[in-house]
Amino acid sequence: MDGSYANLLTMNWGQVVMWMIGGVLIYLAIAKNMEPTLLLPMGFGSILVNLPNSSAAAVIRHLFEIGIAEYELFPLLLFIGIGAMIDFQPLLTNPKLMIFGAAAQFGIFFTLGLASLFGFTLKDAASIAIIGAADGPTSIYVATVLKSSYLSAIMVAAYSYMALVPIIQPPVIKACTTKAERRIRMPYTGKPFPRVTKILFPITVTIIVGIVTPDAVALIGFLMFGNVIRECGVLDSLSQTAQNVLANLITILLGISIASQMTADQFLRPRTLLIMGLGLIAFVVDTISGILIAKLMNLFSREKINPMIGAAGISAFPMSARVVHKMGLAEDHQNFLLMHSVGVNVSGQIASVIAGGLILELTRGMIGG
Amino acid sequence: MFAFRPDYMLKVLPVMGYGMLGIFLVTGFLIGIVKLLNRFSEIE
Repeated sequence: MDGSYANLLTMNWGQVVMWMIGGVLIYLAIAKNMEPTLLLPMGFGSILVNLPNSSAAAVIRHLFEIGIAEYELFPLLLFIGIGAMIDFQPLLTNPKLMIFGAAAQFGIFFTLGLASLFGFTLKDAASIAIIGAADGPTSIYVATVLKSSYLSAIMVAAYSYMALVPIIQPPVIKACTTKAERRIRMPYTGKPFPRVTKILFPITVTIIVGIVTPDAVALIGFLMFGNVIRECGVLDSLSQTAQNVLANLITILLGISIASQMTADQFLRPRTLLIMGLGLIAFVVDTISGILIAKLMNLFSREKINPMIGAAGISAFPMSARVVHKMGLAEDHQNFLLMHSVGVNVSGQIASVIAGGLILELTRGMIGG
Repeated sequence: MFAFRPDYMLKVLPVMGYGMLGIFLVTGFLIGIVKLLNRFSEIE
């Protein structure tokens, strides 16, 4: 009894605030269905590690060390599952969609400048900027490799905003497009591709990206490995395992491991709020730049592009594609943009990985890491 | 919290420029590869 009382006395207000934050994350996961696979483990984990003299803290910390800090294992393994979920067919049908995926990464570099302006060091600014990749594993990978001291805040921002894509993007898209633009129809002429093309694509992308940005090899390689498993046609059970069991298992471990960084002293800092704000700006700028490049292309193209599909380049897969598709249908019941927006969305996935690799390469070149 | 450091921002301008340039270059190259793969699949 004395031990319990003494334990109670070691508690501080910061830990209680972290329980509440954990509670909010659990609430958002369950009641609002916002990225529940990740926010729920993170929420529960943040309560676990903030209990006074918590014996769980050491275990979770160890899990973080071996699964994330040491070799960035969890985010990379998760990429195998994501790769197995992605169908590149819409992209292969219309490869120029990749331009939108590339353009929608501008938010990353814009936020890099903004974070630097607010006094973050280069490695922290780069880690914060990568929230704009709208891609959890890439954010974790880059922030871990750069040894950012704001990993937990970056994770919470990245996954929260990914979950909030259906709320963040529509007003931005509406503000940047006219009603006539949103009603532009885009016929889809999908044709079946031979299996060899679908297998050669991920292998070729891995080789090219690997040569140009060696720092992105692990990310793109695991993503495309998962995709080859999916497309090869002889590993259906492995593909299903990667998409479901592997992805779910790693997500549980990833969420609870990240919680090791959600201790009161690391999380309750004024700069956490600033990071959340910068993350939001990154998402908004990504969306705007994707739309603007589509508008620019419309000036020179005979076949008009619905500028809304540019917004799907932010990589938050597949939420962003769904948002654009729904907005298209809301304007015109016969306007089916799903395949185009999925194509842009998967190209955003590739572009965000390339952006992560470039950020790592360029920043490490500057700080000599 | 809000320590404005324009000098920091000036330092990262090359990263911003080279980063975007790099993404568009790699993307352009990938578009070319996909078009090539599509051409091969049509020949088959």
